[in-house]
Amino acid sequence: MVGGLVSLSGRQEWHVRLAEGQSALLPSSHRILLTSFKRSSYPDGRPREYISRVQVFKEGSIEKTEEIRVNRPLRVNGLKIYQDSYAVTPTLFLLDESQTEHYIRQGEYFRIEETFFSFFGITPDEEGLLSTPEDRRVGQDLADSTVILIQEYDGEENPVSMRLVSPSDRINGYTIGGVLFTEQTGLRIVQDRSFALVLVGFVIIGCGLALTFIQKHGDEMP
Amino acid sequence: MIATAAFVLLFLSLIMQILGLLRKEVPFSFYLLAGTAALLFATTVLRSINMGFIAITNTYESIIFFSAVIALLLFLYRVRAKEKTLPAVTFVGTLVAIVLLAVASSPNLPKEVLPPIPALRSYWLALHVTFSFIGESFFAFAFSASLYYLTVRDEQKKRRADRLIYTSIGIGYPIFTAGALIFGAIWAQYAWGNYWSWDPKETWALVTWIVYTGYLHTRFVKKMRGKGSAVLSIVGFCFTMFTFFGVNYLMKGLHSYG
Repeated sequence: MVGGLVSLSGRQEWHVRLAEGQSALLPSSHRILLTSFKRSSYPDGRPREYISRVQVFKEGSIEKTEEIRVNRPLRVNGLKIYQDSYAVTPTLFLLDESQTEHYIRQGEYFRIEETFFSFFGITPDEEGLLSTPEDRRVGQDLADSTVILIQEYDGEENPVSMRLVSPSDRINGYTIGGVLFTEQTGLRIVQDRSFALVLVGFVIIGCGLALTFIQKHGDEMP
Repeated sequence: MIATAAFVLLFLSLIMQILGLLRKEVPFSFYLLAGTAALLFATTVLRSINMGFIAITNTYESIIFFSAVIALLLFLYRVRAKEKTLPAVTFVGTLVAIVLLAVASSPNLPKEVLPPIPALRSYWLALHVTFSFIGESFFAFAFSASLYYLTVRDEQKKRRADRLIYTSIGIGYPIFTAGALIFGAIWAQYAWGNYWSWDPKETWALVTWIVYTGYLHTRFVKKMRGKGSAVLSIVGFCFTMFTFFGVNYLMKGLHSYG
């Protein structure tokens, strides 16, 4: 019960999604970098394994390189990082005038001159159904007919209009290169110092059971 | 196929037991229970080899294991108690195992040998499920003895049945506590970072545990015996069955796979 109360008052949980090469700052001020994410399935489509290979940095230097799997969380300075989910999300790529590619993930903002934009998503597919990210293969380009939704904002970040564009269209000097689908791992970061107390509670329950039975066994003998 | 043979063997055992109840025990008929247990355990072992993990990751496999332990307990009881065996208790226990195997044979229960999804690939899960079902098998035995207690009139037989209920729950309770609550919580902590989620199955397992705690508490502290204790044991087993089947089919949660 003490463990439960500690958990109730002190437990904190965060979720983070990372694509390969992306990093996130942990509450412990460590930085976690996803170096690779691998998922595999059984022939019938059910998930077989999710493996996130990560590097943990402290003040710029690598502290550890580990794999996070389901049932095998990573411990970092009092935090536990769990393999929680995965997602396949669309990433917009733009080409500037020098043909340099710029990648913007769904929901991210980007700025061209004085105008802010965000990559809102893509339109329903030909059947009129909104494709779920899992329906798309990773790295697959969209057809030229696909409509890409880009939200435009004014200087004070108020939405102004939704632009509907297609690959090879131009927007303020940039060319829409297309949309790629990238995998992201979903990690759950948990700070909960109560589990040790709960384990102690379990040990006490075990001892209590043993003592009770030893003590009462004599009374119960016919 | 092996599970079907086990079912046939158990059914034969039931018929022999009926004959035994009506006339006289057929010699060595209780070895059919041992045969059933052996075949059911063989099913679990073969499935485990085929899938590369302990075959207790879905409802079908759980029922096979559960029935195997019940059959083994009934056999061991008969071997240990010898002529003091209460045949009606063994009969009801066999009936429980037959009903469980009949449920397992339902076309609605998937029986394909499928390797487990990542969340189920944990030895804590194996401990959680096996200990839970071993504990519940003792509860099934207590249930059979409780029904017998409530129907028999002979005082000496009542005392033996009462002692049997207490012994079964006394052994099953710590095993169930370890499996359902402790190992389950440790597994959940490793898999999801939550040792308790108030998932329907967790909650109902806790309710079941409280009922059996109540049984032991009233027996130890209040010195309660007899009818009240037997009724509590029956209620406990009803909760056990609801936790296993009712929650699976009526509620959704983290335990939807088994």
